[in-house]
Amino acid sequence: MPIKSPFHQRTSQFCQSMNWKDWAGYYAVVSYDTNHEQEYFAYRHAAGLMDVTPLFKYEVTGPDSLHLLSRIMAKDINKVKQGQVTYCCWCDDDGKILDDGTVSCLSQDHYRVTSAEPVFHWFHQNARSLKVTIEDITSRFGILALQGPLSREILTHAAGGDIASLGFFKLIDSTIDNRRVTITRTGYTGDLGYEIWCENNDALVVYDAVMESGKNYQLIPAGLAALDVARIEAGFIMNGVDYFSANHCVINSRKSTPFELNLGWSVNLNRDSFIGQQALKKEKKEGSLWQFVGLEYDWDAYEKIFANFDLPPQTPAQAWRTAVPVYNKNGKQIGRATSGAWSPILKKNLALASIKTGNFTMGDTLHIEVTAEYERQLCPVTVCKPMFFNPDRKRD
Amino acid sequence: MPFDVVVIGGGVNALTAASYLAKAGRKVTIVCPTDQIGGLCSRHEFYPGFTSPGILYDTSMFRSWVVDELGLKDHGLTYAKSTKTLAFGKDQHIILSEHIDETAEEIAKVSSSDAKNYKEMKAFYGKISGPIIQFLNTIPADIVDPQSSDLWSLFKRGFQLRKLGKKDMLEVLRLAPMAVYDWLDEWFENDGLKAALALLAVTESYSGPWSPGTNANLLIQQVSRGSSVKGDGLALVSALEKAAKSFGAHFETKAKVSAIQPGKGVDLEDNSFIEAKTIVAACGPKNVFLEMMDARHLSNTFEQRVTKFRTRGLCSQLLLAVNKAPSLVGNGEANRILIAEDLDSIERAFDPIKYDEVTSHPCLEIYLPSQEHNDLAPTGQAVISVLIHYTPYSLKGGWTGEAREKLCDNVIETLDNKIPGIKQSIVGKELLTPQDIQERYDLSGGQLCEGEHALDQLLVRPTPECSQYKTPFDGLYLCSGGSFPGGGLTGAPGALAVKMVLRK
Repeated sequence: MPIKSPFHQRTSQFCQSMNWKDWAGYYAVVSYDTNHEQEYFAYRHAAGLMDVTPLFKYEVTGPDSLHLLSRIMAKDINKVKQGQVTYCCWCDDDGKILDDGTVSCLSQDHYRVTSAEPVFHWFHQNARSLKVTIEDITSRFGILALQGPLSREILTHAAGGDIASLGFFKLIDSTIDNRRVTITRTGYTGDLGYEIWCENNDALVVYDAVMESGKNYQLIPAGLAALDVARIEAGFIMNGVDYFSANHCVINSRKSTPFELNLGWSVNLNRDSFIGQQALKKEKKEGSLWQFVGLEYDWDAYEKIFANFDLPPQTPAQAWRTAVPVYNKNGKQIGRATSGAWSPILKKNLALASIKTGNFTMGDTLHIEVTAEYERQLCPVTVCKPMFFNPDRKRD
Repeated sequence: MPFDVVVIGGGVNALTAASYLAKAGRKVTIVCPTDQIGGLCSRHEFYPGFTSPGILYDTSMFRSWVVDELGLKDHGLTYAKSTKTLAFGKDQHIILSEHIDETAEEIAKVSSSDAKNYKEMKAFYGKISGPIIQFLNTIPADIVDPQSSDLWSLFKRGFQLRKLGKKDMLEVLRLAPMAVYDWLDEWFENDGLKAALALLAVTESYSGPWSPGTNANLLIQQVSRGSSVKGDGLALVSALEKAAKSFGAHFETKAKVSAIQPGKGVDLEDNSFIEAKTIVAACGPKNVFLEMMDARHLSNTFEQRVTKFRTRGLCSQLLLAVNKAPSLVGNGEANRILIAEDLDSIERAFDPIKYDEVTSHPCLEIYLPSQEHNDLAPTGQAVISVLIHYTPYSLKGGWTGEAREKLCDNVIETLDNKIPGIKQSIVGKELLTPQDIQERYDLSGGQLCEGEHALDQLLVRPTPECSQYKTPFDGLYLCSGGSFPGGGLTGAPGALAVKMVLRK
């Protein structure tokens, strides 16, 4: 049975739909209303407040903290300065991705790591002989994600300190209603947004204070369904959906590397040794088997597929995550789309996909499987970079 | 001044490797962590006027081809005519030696059928020894990235085994994974004889005579044993040291390696650096990879494999300074003594260490070095080295003064039972528990073989990527007892590793 997050008393009060799911062992709201649309628009036009406590959270402390993280992460954590957060992934010896998450540098011997899966064992295994303490703090801290274009105003109102000048992927220690919090300018919506870490005991006070500050800014609690649409628009991959951790793959072909997931930018190859370095260097030299791309459906063709059955075009009500095949123009399968959604803000049908290298170039037209009236059809899609929505306000 | 090769360690394998390398024209330096060369056969004064001969003494498995190839006889090595072991059973003793007929006559005093079977068993070992000795004296096949030569070598070995004939081949395949208890029970009736044969086969691994796979150790020992070096371990080390020096090897003592930089050299604890493109490590694999190397250079898979290599020490040494040489039965010719009543008593001595406890009835392996080395003790007095089987590395409650005294008392009592008067003659003693052995000799876990001789750790030793003495790091080789074919004074890992180094 899932457990309750420290915000549960509030989230359950707002969750009129009773639409819950189990996220990493916690009760998590899929959508507060029966439809997630309003929550989605809150993320994009005002602000949404989401309980992201179920993220796995670890604290790494001690003089060798940096040593450990630099051994594990594909990104060079040496470059991460105090007060900075970084997005990174980590791999096994074969360069196959295990998980992705963030690393926050609170000081040179104090880091926090978030991940989609439990990683204590992996960290511990690689910490032998290092002077470092790894603590699973998942159940000690609650995290609220305050996301949307008005999040800065709301948080400036709610929290002490200089929120207005807090840069993208930076963190500060602050207070909300006299409770100590750590605020990071991070999120999973691809928009302006913040994440607020607080101790469990302070969770409800912090939640109430943020909601109170958001009263004049149309802040509403928002759930996972709206987030899923937003993250696809932003082109953010998801462990277990767009890729599988090498830990869980029975066959090699199901494993992925950072380069294959368009995360090459987060890999620093030429530095001191890290796990998977040799394999990744080899891949960099020889090329990757797969490429991670965005696909935009040809709307006219999509409409036509349904029109043939005298139906209006049916866009999925929620983001989907059951992979579908992608074909080249000769009908040969060259990849799979792993998740997708109708983007209300872009008015486009979108998908994220892994396509075999050498079968396409950006801008090409490929074909994706669409089911209309129980029949499999092919719809043309245009290949693009996996980032459909990237407003300036995210970084400004 | 750069060297071609730096050999880390100071024991028999280090000296063997250095000698071979120097002989092959390489500029070699040995960095020995202590002030005395010899590793587990090095001296230290444990009581004023009394010097320990080290822990290992049995040279009967030191490879004769190494003696020949290094010309060790030119450096003072001679073989003992006979090495006698006095084996105490419950109410009896048998004197064992490498001479089969002589031993059979001794056994006949307690059992005529065992005497007959002893000869038969020895004949059987003689018959099957060829392919096994060859196997033990060959670089193992590469199982990680096998080349055609590896497959050919595997095929050849299989074929040699097949050449024994179907009956003997099947018997070899049957006996290797057996428990030594079952095997000896098939041959003999006398408990003391069985215990004497089994004791040395089970004490290198975390096992008792009832444990499966222990018979492989007995097999290896039985086919590998030959004549002992006169003067045992100390004399072997002295000949090897002279040989290494004669070939031009350089020695650096009191030089503790703090870090290995593969392909470049080694850092010493005094902050100096020895430059050498090739590093041959005669210290245990765990010391090499988990202590001397930066963890970041190790892949996770490899590090886990090294970590899992089992190195639990299970034997302590009690050094006794006695004011008169012990008087032994059998004309006092034996310079080694075994005390184990029967197979079950060995198993009972083993049982408690699984729970970090220690037996009150230990089995003992005793060596009297002063017979050959009169400089170890003042005239008329003697040194006795007692290996105590079994003792755990981490004793429940810790190796407190009280726990140590209790163990010493039990050992001395057991000794005094078999060799009356010994208790009164003790003037000084030193006990080395597995923890002390780890500390003094830099042995992971205090494991005398640098890795347990369990079946799974004998064939692929210490890890698949290092089973051929080379490592995942260019220019770094292993040659300790933690490599094939295992620990003990055999010289084989040292000699075979060099063949691999020179092959490159």
